[in-house]
Amino acid sequence: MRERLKIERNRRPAITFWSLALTLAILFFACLIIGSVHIPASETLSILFAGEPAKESWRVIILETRLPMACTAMLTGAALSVAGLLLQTTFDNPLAGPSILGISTGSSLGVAIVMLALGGAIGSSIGTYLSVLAGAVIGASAIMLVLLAFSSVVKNSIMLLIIGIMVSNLASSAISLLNFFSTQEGVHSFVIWGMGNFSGVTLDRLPVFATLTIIAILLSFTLAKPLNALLLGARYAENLGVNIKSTRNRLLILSGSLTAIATAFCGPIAFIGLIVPHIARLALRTSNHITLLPATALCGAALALLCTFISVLPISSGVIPINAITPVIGVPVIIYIILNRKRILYFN
Amino acid sequence: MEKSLISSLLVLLSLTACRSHNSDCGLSGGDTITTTATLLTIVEFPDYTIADVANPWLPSTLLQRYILVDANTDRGKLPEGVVINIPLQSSLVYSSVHAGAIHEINRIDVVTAVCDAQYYKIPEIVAGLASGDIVDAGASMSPSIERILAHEPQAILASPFQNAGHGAIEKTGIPIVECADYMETSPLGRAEWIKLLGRLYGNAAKADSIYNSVASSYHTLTSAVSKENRPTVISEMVTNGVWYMPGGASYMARLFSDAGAEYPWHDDKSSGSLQLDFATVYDKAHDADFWFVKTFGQDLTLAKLREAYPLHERMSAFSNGGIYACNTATSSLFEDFPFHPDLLLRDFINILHPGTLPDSTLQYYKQVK
Repeated sequence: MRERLKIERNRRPAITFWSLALTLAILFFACLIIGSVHIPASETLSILFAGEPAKESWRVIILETRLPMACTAMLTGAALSVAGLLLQTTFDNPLAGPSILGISTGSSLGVAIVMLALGGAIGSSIGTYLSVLAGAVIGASAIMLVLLAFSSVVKNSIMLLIIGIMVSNLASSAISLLNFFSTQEGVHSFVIWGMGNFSGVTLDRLPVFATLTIIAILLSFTLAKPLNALLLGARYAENLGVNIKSTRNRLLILSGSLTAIATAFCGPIAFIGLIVPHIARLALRTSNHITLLPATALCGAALALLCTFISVLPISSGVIPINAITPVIGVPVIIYIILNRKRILYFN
Repeated sequence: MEKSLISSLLVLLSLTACRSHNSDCGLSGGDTITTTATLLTIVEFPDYTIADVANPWLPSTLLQRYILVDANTDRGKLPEGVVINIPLQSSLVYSSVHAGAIHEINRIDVVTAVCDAQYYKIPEIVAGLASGDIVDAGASMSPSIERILAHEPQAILASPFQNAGHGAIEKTGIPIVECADYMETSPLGRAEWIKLLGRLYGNAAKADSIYNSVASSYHTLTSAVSKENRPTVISEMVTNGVWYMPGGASYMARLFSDAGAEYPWHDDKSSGSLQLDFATVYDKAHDADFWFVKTFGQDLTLAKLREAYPLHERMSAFSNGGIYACNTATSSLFEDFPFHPDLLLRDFINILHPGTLPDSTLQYYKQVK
């Protein structure tokens, strides 16, 4: 009996990874085949394999809108989920995430400054792409610097988490003020950006986005061992030779970069960073970061694809904002985690 | 007993019908002034004027009934409704659009307080705000109650929103004129609301003459347009993944149609904006001949349009020189078109059917290069 359980436990990661990979593949093709414009599946496959479509416009729709959108969703989902996992382990708190710590809000503040305060000079309705991108990265980096500065003074992770929440509130207040004094057009543009979308990354922008995201995700994989040491507690980790301060700083910089890149390109995507690490933990039944990190990335990619698929379902002529879908999936997971907190913490 | 019950029921029914119907009740015997607006009915009686504003979100119901009356009229004879003494001697105006129309009927001196002060370009308002003679009541979404109460305007001209009141302003007892003109779907219907401003501000003759001249100019322009050659048009652009396209029953769709254009979403029944993704627009209208875009703050160029969303260049109008843009921060489009839709229609006709009109200069839109 014990032997059977052991075999089952050994097989679990493999089963989980294969299931996630299969789900990811199905959702990826679903996002290519189904969209607001009806294109027969056979035509979609023919276009993907360089065939001649019945309508030329279908080629543009598949190759230049659906394909980059599906890739962007996968990369963003993976990036935010990995960022969420890094933060949850760093702060030893299951409810830590890019949005809770104020990194997403920092990005939003940067974009708000570009779109609202400088709206007249830069042009809010068009919101030049690069300035929005720069605004998001600078905003997230500023919050990260504040957190890093505090981390050298405040040793307790919970206290640092609370500081993060406070800084996030401060950034939200600045955004509200900017909204209040801005033009209607600026507010409109900012509100739409805040709804999140994966279609802003077109085929020519995808290589930059993909390179940055993949590098940051791979770098985070190299921190799996120190992350595992952190799970045992700061003192124990120090005994194992882990430099806590430097590790925490590296984790903060990496998670901040992952969030900043994703937010800059797709807007602030809510809940994914918070819930996916828990889904991955529940699936793997382990907190070993060597398997948890890639599983979280795969799971985040699949969830983001699912949200994209729902957002473009041809139920009407419109598109549903991503941030209207993520809470529908995210809130039940959060409630489940709160109700089963003890059991889930066991994996930590 | 039975008779009295039936008569009570009949009275109740007639009262209910009175409340739910938008215009007819109590209006017989008067002179109906409005002809085109669907949300506004003005009926003049010897001693007073009734202005009914229909509820745009609940068809066949009234949003508000106003009784416009000279201050000396005997109040006992008036029908039920919000009584407003005319002509107004002071007023708070929420929108620069309405202030523009009041300026046109030569009563700008009666605008004594404004909201969203930064949007006003009228010299009298700008000077009044600078000198402090005109009260800055703050943002229209959250006006300063204290300043409004201290100023005590005779009426407040505000735009209603669906399922939202006017907050604490309603408690001040100052009559709020629900300017639902922006919900009119026909350009001339919206323009006709100037007649209400004319009656409120005591220059009905001027307001009526402005509307008649606009309507006549509008009809002349539409009749000049070719019925056979109808180029296809699209509007606006992708903003953060969403293309906000005017609905088929919207104000803009009507203007496009009157300007002799084919609008791909003309079958759609919505009067607001459609939230579409690029794929939907591309599939249906990638070969549209003309493309009208409104921007705020900067003049649009093809490079900026490409930068905003690279796939914009896939639209035929991008390479055919068919894109025209209006920078609403520098042009007076938003101030002009509600009460002068003929001016915007003239621009559209000059773009869509060059050579049709003797004067071919464009007032608001410029070709994007």
